[in-house]
Amino acid sequence: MPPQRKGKKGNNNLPQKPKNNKNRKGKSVNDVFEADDDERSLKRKGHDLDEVDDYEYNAQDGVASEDDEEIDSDDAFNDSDEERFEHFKFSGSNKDKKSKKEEEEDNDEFSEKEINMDESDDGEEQQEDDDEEEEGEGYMDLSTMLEDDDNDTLHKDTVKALMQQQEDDDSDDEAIMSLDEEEEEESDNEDAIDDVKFIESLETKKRKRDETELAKKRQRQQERTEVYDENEFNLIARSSTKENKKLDMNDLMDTMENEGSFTTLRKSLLELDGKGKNVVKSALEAPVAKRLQDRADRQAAYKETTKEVSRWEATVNQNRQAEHLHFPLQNSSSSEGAGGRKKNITSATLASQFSAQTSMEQQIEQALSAAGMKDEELEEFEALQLNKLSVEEVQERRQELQMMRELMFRSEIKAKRLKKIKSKSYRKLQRKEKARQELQAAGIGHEVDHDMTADEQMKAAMSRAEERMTLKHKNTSQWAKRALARGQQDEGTREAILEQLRRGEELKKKVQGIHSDDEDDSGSDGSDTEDRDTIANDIRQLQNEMEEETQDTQQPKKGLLGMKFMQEAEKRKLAVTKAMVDDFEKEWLDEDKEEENVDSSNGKIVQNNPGRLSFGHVKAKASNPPKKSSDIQVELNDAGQIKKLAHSASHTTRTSGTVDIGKSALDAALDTSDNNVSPWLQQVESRVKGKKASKKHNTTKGKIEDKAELNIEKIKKSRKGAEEVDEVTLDLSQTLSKKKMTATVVADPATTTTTTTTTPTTTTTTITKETSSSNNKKKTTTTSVKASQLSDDDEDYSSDDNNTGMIHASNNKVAFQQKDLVARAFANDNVTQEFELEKAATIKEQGDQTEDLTLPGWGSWGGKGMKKKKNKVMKTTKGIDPLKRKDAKLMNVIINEKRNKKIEKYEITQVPYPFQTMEQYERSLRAPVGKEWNTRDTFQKATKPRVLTKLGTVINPLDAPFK
Amino acid sequence: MKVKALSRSSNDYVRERSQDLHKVQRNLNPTIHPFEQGREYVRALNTVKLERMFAKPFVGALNGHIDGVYSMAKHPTRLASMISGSGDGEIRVWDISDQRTTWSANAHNGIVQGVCAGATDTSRFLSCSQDKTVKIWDTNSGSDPIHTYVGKYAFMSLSHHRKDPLFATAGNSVDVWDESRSEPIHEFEWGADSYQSVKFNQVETNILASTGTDRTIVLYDLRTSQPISKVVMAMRTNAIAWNPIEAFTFAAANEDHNTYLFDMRNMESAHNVFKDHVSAVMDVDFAPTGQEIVTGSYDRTLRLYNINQGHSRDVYHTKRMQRIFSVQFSMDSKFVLSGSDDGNIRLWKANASEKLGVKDWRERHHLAYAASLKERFKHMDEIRKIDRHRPLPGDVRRADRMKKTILSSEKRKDENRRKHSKKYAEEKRIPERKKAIIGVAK
Repeated sequence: MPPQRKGKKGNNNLPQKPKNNKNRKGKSVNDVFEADDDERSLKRKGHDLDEVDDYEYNAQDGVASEDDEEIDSDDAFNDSDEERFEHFKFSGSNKDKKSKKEEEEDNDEFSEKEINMDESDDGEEQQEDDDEEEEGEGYMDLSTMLEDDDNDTLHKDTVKALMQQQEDDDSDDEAIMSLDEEEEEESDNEDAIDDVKFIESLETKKRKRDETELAKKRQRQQERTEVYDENEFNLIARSSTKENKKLDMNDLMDTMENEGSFTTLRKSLLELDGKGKNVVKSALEAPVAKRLQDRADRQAAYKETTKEVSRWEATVNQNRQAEHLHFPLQNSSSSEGAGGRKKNITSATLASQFSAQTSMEQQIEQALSAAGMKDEELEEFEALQLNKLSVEEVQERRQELQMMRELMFRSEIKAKRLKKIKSKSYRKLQRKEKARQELQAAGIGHEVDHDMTADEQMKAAMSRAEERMTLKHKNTSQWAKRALARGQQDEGTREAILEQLRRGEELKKKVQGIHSDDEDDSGSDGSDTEDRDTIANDIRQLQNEMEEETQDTQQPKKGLLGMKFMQEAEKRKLAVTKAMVDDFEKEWLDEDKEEENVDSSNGKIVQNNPGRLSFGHVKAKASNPPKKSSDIQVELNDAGQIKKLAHSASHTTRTSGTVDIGKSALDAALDTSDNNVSPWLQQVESRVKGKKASKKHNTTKGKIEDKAELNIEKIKKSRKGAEEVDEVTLDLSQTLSKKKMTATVVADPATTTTTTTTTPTTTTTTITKETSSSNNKKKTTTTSVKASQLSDDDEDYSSDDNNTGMIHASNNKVAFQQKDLVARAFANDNVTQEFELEKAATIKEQGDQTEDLTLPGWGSWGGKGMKKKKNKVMKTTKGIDPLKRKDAKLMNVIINEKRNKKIEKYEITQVPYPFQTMEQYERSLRAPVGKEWNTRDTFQKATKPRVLTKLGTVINPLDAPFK
Repeated sequence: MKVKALSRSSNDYVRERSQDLHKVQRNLNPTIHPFEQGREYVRALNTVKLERMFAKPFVGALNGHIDGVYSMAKHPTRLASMISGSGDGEIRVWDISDQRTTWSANAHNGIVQGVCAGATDTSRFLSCSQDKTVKIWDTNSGSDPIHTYVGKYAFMSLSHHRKDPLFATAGNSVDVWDESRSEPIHEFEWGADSYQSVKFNQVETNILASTGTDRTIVLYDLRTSQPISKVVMAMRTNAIAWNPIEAFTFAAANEDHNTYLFDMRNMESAHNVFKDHVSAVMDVDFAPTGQEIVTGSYDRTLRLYNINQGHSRDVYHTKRMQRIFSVQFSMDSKFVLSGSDDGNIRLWKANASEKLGVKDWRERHHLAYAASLKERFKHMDEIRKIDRHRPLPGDVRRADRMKKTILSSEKRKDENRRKHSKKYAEEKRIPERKKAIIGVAK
């Protein structure tokens, strides 16, 4: 409990006692008294009303004013608290709780019927208040007053005025009041049975109170005659006085009023009383239960301690994370700076402390001093120069400087002002302006700057792309539409629209790449198309040949070939070949067609254009792989399968063989087709014909077949030339071989095709291998000849222009079946068989091994008729039972069950704790730390222990640096 | 004219001596140093093997006490000085390097429950006993106490403020005494019948902690007249040690065989749990480096822990060593002392295989290299196995096995419950760090 309180108590104890004794006499009396007292307290707190108001107020309901009581600071002390502090005695209160309770009950008895003024709560509150008031009878609690009436200061003022009066003759007043009250109490006691009367009395009492208030001074004058002669030797004893005079501080103070030496004492007493300058403002609250108080204290203390201890957090963390800890910690840190805190090293401090130490520094310093360039000298020099100047010059200089400063200041202010602008439109404009300036600086608006960095280019390209995506430059905006509808009378509008159009046009234009070499591109492009044309020509020629041959077969023949089954077989063969050629042609033409489509959609064909690449990259990619795949289709006869792969890789929606060739396109092709015929092809044709004449039919037919394939090869080769740019191809064979090597998964055609990966290799070599292997029944001589001829076919192709074989494309549509294609693709690829063999080998290898340990030649005779030796020494090392193998039931899998026990030692089963992945762990082991592999410094750094202590040195606990 | 100069190289005629410095020629060419990983692995393996071979931690036993040693204190400034109190009321001051008693007195009539060095004077120290007295001694002034403070109850523990002439005792309440007053200046009480131990924080010197028989650890701040916080654990805490380089961490040796590392700011969960003992941990002490702790247990072993790991780095025991009631780290963190029921104080090396004495440059670097190699390959099975191998007394081993069985079956049971009952499955798993903590009182 704060000391002020105690002081107060001390003050009031004396005069209080008699009253309380009195209170104990009769309960009802007490009650009435309290009600009265309560009103008084109300008055003090600013709840009192003007004279007239009060009358009205009281006329309505005498108790209503008591309800107002709830706006007390002591409100906090409510029902629950009451229960909790049931046995707690307030320092001021002299009655015990029991009597209080009884009082309450009495109160209820009184009020129950007529007035609902007193809920038990209210009653209690009143009582509490009363206690307080009793306690502080002699003085006014200014703070409570202040608390309550922030809103009605007027009342406060009046109360204050009243207080001023009271202050003077408080004791008198008190005496009077108590007298009055006593009278009232008595009367009330008599009337206690009659409730109505009681109420009346209450009301009258109220009125009376007011009257007494008004008539106070008058009465006081009267009473004064009865009061004792006051001096310090004539104090009123509590027991002796009948009027229950309260001894007040003022009584004691009166005597020393005149003496100057007590002024300080008086002042402090005034303060205690709630007057004077430094008033104790807060109301004294009821103390919390000790348990709760303790807990609150503990929590507060704990919080505080935690906060204090947390100041160490930085230090602790630093130590925890430190790579090395040198103990004792603080001795080392003290050398750096007091308590581990490093001094602030700034460049200025360094410069001021600098002194030349190394030879080079010294040399530099010497040189500087020799040239008179040292700082001090320079300053001196400047001072000298200034001395030489005339006054005007100096003034001029100063003005100039001032001007500069002024300008700088202004610009600064302006910048600040501009910075504060929050307008979005302004910002937008600013941004645009900035962008435009940047563009101008970069020169991207009109032509590409060659010095632009890649980053800038990228940015520019991005912005262009974004711009292209917007509809701003198209005339689709409402404004543009309206302007167009109105007919653009306004010149500004027209111009704006024109500008828009121009911009749109500009954006639509392709971007010319910076480093593009158009010649190369166009050349390759040309060759590509030419190749295509020659291929078409080839196809056509082939078809012609075949037709001729069919005609030949229709003619009667002699011998074996003349027999019917042979002829039929020939026919079949021919039909197959034809179908093949047709299919290929169809494929081929489809592709051409498609490419055309793509090109036409773009408007202009620009290939391998960097500018285009950045925007239409996906498109270009999408168009290329299918081409490739179709190529492979023909090559490997598994077009569908690989095509599918291509799909998955490039995510295009293209499908094979479904694109129809428009008739008009075909016609257009027809017009130009027959004009140019490859001389090389003609040559081939003639040669074939010549051979055909000399040789037998079957060989010729075979040759035709062979030729078809050769042509395909040719096409592929030419294609390769054209498409070397994008090398993303499907390397089937390689993946297959890989599969074979690892041999853990069966090279089932279906599975492999699904798992094939696209690798940047040229398919040509592998494919040729396969084709050659498939054709190995053919004569090697002819193929070689053709190969030699193929070597210089590029020039021949270049002379051809158009696709000539298109005529046949439309009428023959043989759709490839997926299965067929797969079967064909892996026709000679005995992967399954190979795998099975491998598996068998591994099973055998890992199975039981028997070893003959008999020494060769030992104990055996050579020569004829020797018996086989009986007692062979055989050693069997137990292996894995083939039936118990993990892959015994897995047809397509080989699981290696052989373990290297020597390696086991170095293997760990799981990733050790601080590491996240095995790679991390392995990386941590990779670099050796030893002396043999590192320099001395590295070695020492790597092997330095984390905690370093000095032998025989006491390591003291840390001292707080911040204390 | 031809002059023949007399020139002779000393290399030719002077014999090689041990002090000779030879430059070590090295070639860093990687081709002549192949298989670095394999070679380093082998070196690590050899290191670990050698370490185990040279692991002889026991330095000596200081004998002299007739009864068990129940309290010990190291001298905060003198490295070789140590104080011990025994069950028969005798106090001895030891010179560790000579392994002999320098001062002794029959100080108390009961068990000397606590001794500690006085902060103000290096020759002063204090002792408390079950005979309800606290005495201040001076090793220079004979075998009579300078001051005697009489309390109302038997004292269980004693701790001195690091700088001020204040000390705290634990008994029926935790009292803080001023050396110049005969009555305690603070009496803290918060629920417990009696308090087991009390310890001042050495860094944040106003804070102290006590452990009570009501299984609590209570924190106090000298600046308040009340305790500030309290953590209730599942079993009683026997001793406390504050980290000397971290103001807010302390280790609590618990009856449940574990030691817990706490952050006093958040005691809802332990910071770390040190396991491995198979009986109650009786005492704990921090190394002055703050990186290690030593615990003495009722299972007759003492263990050393790295504060970042949950299991012990090393375990020391001898055949004749009985229950350990007090352990201390030496002030240079190189040695460990243990006082046990058998009346001996044993001196151990903190690193079992460390060579004592001064090492030359090359040796130091070689050892550092070996240590780093060991650290690097410590996860390898072979190395780990050798490194972790510790011969243990049979009873400890058996107890350990049994404990493991019990714990694993409990765990299994819990898991099974979780598997088959929805109610249990929904229950949260309590982390090991929180298992022993019942709650924090405010």
